[in-house]
Amino acid sequence: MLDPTARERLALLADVLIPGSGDFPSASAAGVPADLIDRALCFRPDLADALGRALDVVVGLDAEAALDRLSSHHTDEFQAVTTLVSGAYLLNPQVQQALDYRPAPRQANDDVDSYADLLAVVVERPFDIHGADLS
Amino acid sequence: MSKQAAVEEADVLIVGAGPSGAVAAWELARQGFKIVCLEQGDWNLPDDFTGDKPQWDLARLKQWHASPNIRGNEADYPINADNSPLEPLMFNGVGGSTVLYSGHWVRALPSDFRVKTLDGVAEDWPFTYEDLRPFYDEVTHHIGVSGLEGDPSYPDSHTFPLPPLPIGKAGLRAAQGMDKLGWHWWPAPNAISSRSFRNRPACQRYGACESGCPAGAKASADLTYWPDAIAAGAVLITGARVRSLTTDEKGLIAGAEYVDRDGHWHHQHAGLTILAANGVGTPRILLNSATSSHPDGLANSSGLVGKRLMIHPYASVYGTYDEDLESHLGPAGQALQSLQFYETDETRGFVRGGKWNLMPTPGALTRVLWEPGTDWRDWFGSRFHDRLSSTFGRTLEWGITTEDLPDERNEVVLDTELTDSDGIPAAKLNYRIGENNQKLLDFHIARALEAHEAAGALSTEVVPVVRDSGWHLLGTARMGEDRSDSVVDQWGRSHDIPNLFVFDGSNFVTSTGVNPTATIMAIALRAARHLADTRHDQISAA
Repeated sequence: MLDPTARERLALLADVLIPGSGDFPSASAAGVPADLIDRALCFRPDLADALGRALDVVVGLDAEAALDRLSSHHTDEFQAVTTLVSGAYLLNPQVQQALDYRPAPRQANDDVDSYADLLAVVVERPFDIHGADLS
Repeated sequence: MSKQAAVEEADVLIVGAGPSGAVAAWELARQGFKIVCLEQGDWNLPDDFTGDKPQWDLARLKQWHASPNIRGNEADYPINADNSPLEPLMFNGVGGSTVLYSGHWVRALPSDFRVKTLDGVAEDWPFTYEDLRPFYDEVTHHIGVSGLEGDPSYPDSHTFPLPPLPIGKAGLRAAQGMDKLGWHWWPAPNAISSRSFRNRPACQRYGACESGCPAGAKASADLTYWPDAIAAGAVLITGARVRSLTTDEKGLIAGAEYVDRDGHWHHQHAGLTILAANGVGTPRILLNSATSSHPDGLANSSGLVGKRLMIHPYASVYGTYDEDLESHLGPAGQALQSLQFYETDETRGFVRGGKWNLMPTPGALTRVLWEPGTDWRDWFGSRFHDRLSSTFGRTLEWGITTEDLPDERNEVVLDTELTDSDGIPAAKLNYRIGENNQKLLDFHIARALEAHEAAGALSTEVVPVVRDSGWHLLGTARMGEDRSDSVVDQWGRSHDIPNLFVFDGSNFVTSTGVNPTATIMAIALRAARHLADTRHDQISAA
């Protein structure tokens, strides 16, 4: 679990990584530094240490400089930050709605009729099969 | 499902509960053999998989990654792949790598078995497509494959027990592109149920096939052959990691030493032993079984155990389109396949070819994952939403499986330092992509770009060699008629040790250019049936 100071640092980075745009909320507005980062860490506890190191590295830097440093010199930590922030962000229902993401389950309906005419051309076209014993 | 109790004596010991071990266990158990299978992993139930849960996007990158090196489960063993451009992929558990495979159910073609005769390279197989055809048919109908009869790229009009899965908007768009070019395509055969089949429901289109099907619709061997094998009397012991095979005073295989998850060591005796541990696990066991009388490992008088590793270098050619094609939906699984450029055309400057599969691109997170070495501003900030919105549901992959010709320099050896969690020496891959294969990749990538352009893609992206694509681990104990240049005969029996068999993809002579599971299972069924038919001629350990 991140302490309040770490959450504040994470929020600064997250909002530069994912600003608001149109129907898409910013990372903070989506709740990434609040509860969603905790959910993401539950799903990927192996990234907790790297996230912690990243938030230590960036102390005293503004967000842009912090991200430059992480991506240039601490790639494992940068990958952890970006994977967790993006993964957490995509858990937000408002984000999924903005993305028009309608997830499965869906029925696996037969759609052969939609391409039968195209397939007829394939069947009629000669195909060169090598090495078959057609006897 | 609980672990079955060990038995003291077995007619046949099978090492590995993947697809070849499963089909062999079923065939031999139903024919009256007392079967024991040792599997280092465990059972997984559909609810274990995350494809229908919020954590999937994140968990597929770690807990359900196809690389044992990244996943690092208790049942996994590490593999040193530093000398390989391809990461070995597999799953260690009941069902083996079919638990995580994408279910592309593709028969090899007739020419695959005759590459020396037709193309002057490598070697012909000791049997033909026609010999294997009835076993392809039998397995296809047993496990419930979805597909459409009549693909003109095959010489026979083989059938499927289930209709094809939907190709969707994405498949239709790609098919229209292929149609413009006059190139072959076909609604792809998949080992995924399009309708309920026996114990499996219909696909629910999660698109999570490669991280385990949460619906239980995929024909993984734990759901197909294993329940039947156990019902027929086979005993499957999970959490049993084999270190080595043992020999008796006659030089026959006496059984296997294994360690359970409590750290206790056991010996399983059997009259006959079948290795079904994949193209890395099988040579690893044979090499780890070296003794003073077999210093180079068991069954290795040819020196070819571990040699001729073939992995199928795989290219991804992505196209992004101007409309929502619902490409986040499964199955994944292949919507289409094309064998347009499968056969040799010497004017191209290389021999053999490759198979294309049109794949969806499920998951939003993978659309925005930063690639090390690139500027983060190209991925995040103002670019984040543009990238996400323009690619999610709109991006298709033409994936290209390319024929990988055998080369003795490509090999599985024992690592001199790395061990698994039980202290057993791990495997190391020494592998490079050959010149013919590189030319083949270049040609196919160029054609796949044309296919996307013909279909109207707004933009394209090429991953010329996908590192995390080493699913097909083949050829490391090849079959053949001559004991000097092969490890096993056409029935999988060791030339050196008559009660030892190899039934997994290690026994491939050449790699073919298609996904190998259908061929692995057909060969295993053919070999197991022959073993049963010739039971009175078999030489067993006492």
